[in-house]
Amino acid sequence: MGITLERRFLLIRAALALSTIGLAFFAGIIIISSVGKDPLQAYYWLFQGAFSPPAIPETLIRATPLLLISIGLATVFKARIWNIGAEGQFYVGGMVTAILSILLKDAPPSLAFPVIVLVAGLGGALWALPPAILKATYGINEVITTLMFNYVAIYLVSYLLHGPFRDPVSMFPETETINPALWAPIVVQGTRLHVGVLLAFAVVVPLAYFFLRWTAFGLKLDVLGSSARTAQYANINVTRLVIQAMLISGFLAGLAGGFEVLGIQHKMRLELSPPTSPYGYTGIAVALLGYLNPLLIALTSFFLGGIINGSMTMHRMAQIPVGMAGIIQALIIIFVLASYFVEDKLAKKAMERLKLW
Amino acid sequence: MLAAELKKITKVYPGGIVANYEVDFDLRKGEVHALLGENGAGKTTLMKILSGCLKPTSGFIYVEGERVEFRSPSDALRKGIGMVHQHLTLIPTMSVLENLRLGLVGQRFDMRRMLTEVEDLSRTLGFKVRLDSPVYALSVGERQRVEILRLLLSKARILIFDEPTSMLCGPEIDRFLALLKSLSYKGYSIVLITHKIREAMHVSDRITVMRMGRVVATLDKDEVRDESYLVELMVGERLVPAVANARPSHSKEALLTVKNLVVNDDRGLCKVKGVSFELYAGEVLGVAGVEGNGQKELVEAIAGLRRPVYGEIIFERKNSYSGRMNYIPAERMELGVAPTLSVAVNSVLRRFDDEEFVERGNFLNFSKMNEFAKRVVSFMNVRTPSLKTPVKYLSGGNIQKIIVGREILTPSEVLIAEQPTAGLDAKSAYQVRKALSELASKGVGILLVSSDLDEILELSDRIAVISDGKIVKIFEKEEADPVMIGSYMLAGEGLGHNVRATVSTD
Ligand SMILES: Nc1ncnc2c1ncn2[C@@H]1O[C@H](COP(=O)(O)OP(=O)(O)OP(=O)(O)O)[C@@H](O)[C@H]1O
Ligand SMILES: [Mg+2]
Repeated sequence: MGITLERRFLLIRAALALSTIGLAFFAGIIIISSVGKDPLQAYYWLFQGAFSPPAIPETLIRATPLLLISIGLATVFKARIWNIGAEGQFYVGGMVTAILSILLKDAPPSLAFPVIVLVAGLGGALWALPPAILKATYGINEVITTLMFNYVAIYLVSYLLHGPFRDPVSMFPETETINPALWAPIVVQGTRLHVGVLLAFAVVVPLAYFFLRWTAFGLKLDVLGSSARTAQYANINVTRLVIQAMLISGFLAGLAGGFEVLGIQHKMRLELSPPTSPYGYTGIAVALLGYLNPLLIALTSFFLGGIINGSMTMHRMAQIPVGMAGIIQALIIIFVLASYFVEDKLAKKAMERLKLW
Repeated sequence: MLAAELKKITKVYPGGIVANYEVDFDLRKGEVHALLGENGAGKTTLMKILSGCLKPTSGFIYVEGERVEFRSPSDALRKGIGMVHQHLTLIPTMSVLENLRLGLVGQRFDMRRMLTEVEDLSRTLGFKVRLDSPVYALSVGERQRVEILRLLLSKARILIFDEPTSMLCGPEIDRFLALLKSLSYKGYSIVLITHKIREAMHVSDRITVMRMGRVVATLDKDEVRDESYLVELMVGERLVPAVANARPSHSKEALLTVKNLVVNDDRGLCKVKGVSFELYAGEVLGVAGVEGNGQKELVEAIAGLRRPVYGEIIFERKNSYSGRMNYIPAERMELGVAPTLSVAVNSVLRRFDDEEFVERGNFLNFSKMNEFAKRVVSFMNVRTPSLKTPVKYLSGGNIQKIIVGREILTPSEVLIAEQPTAGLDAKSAYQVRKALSELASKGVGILLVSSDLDEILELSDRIAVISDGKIVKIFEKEEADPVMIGSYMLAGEGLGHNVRATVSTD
């Protein structure tokens, strides 16, 4: 009976996920019609740009930073540590990558590349460290500190890109293009799929799944998330655990920034994150949508990556304003999060109506 | 006249557990109605339904003859029904005043009126509350009084108490029961969920006994001939015997030495004022005292959860095989378990550094974990749908059983047992006492902190009486008698106001 029971819950969850997404698209129809566009055509382009076979590689590319960031966030969220600072950690990762790539442009690439990738992650981790220490030792609310650190990071990067590291010949605040020898190697010819994509989906996801589920580290995060006092009672070194989790979270965000620079942009730009859906913030929704489970997060980041790309296509082909695309994205996120709540109620109702005794 | 009535109530929890099945229950105006039953019998569930915390799967609720349906506890409160839960529900970081204020959401709020009402109520009921103190700094008894105030301020006329005395000790229990009586004389109707039959016999007008989700009997107090009859109704068995406490005399080898210990509470008030004692291998050292005299802080300091201001705690890990200090805390939900995690995980909660379950320092061995969890579950007879069930879905007593079972079955050198049998039904409590006694025979040093003096007398080799943060006397088993212990418990100055308060409630 246990199995059918669990299956029933899964069914409810799946049905609900699909119907919420449906609902979001329905709301989108109203909005698109209200600005006098044809919603059918708009959605056609949305899907073309997101999930049609030729669009898949670009969707994977878009999903990669989301995936790395949200797996890091899942790590801290499990312990109910609310790191809102992935955006800043992502930018720091991107910036140190660009700087280091410029400094190491003549070093042997096979040596320099891994070093740069590692330092990108460390940069993100370092950026997460002060809020982590403040939280772990003085109990200072991490939501505020990490959020503030985003502004510091982004304005700092902005300063560097306008000043010391600005490419003198470019019209935009950005660094010079880095040495192509240091670019992240392409893994599928004819696409922009680089090693970072492969690393994220094929290495980080299973590794994270394993670590969060099968190790004492993952379990300790769960205990801390369940009750902080209990964690102390369970002989868990909470200070260390909080700092470790935040460092991992920052490392993955920094790594995402590094690969975005090495694999896609090939320089540091002010718009390393798409302004309508910044990776660091969208990653929060991706992690929550994926129930903090790395396997599901791989799916949700693919889905949201697709929506981001598709909405750009929709903008280009059907002249739907980019802002409108942002609204639809936000609607999907809001509806799906709302379904968390509904799910609980529905599941309970269903169980009760079954009269299982 | 009936204050409230439940008819044919059935409650099925998600997961298919039938906690109540076609239950009828009624509450008369101005009566104290005791609700008895084993752990998991469905008492809490039934009362949560009456107080609007849960919706019944089927069945009807009547208040003063009128049929009602509650969507939330505040619906029920509007009809005058309020509940003080097994695990208290105040917000620990907020002050008493703020907590009282929170109970009044949705009403027009007038601070001055509320303050006068609080004053009136605490005068008529005869207790003091410090309105500006944060709730976490209050003792369990004090928190309870705040909860009662909160309900009375909301004009509740039906008060439901879920095991209110399980964490209180002798004098405080008497004081609480007197308060219940006086509330009922003032016209409040009261439901008292309890495991203590004597207590039920003492204050209640009627008694309802539940077993396995059904009501077995509702009796007038006069109909109950003797207590063992009630036990029979509850469990279908006769009263459980006392634990035969015939251990060989313990050694003089000190496992735990406490020297001149001084500990503050969260507000920085000195609660432990220079305590010294030794805990020997193979003995049960009982700590008797009125709740709030420093036991909590003492135990937390020994368990490493609170930093002492001064003094020494020396724990010698003689036995390299275990070398552990196990701890059964009085706070179940906030400290003893991780509520959202499974029975299996909670069974090994304090052993994430133990090679048995965590290989090479980090890799979980789930089959070993499950194996141990199964032992805990069968040893304590825990009622749970599966090992994967989050413990927050279990009944209060079953959660307690997991904590106690885990700490008893995990090999240790020293065991601190704080209120180990609070909230357990008679049979399980007997099981725990027997296990503690057996552990002591095997050489474990047990520090037993309990508000149940009978339990302390039954199990202890020595009894330390704590009063106002000091150990005022250590009795050897032979010389201990309840009256003497009681007089030492009341000797400290901390008790002065309690005694007065007891008088004023009468
Ligand atoms: N939220 C829940 N979800 C699922 N099952 C539950 C939930 N709460 C209680 N149960 C189950 O319902 C049954 C009755 O529980 P209830 O809490 O009413 O018992 P109780 O009589 O109050 O016991 P105790 O004396 O141990 O507090 C138990 O088997 C328990 O495991
Ligand atoms: Mg209960």
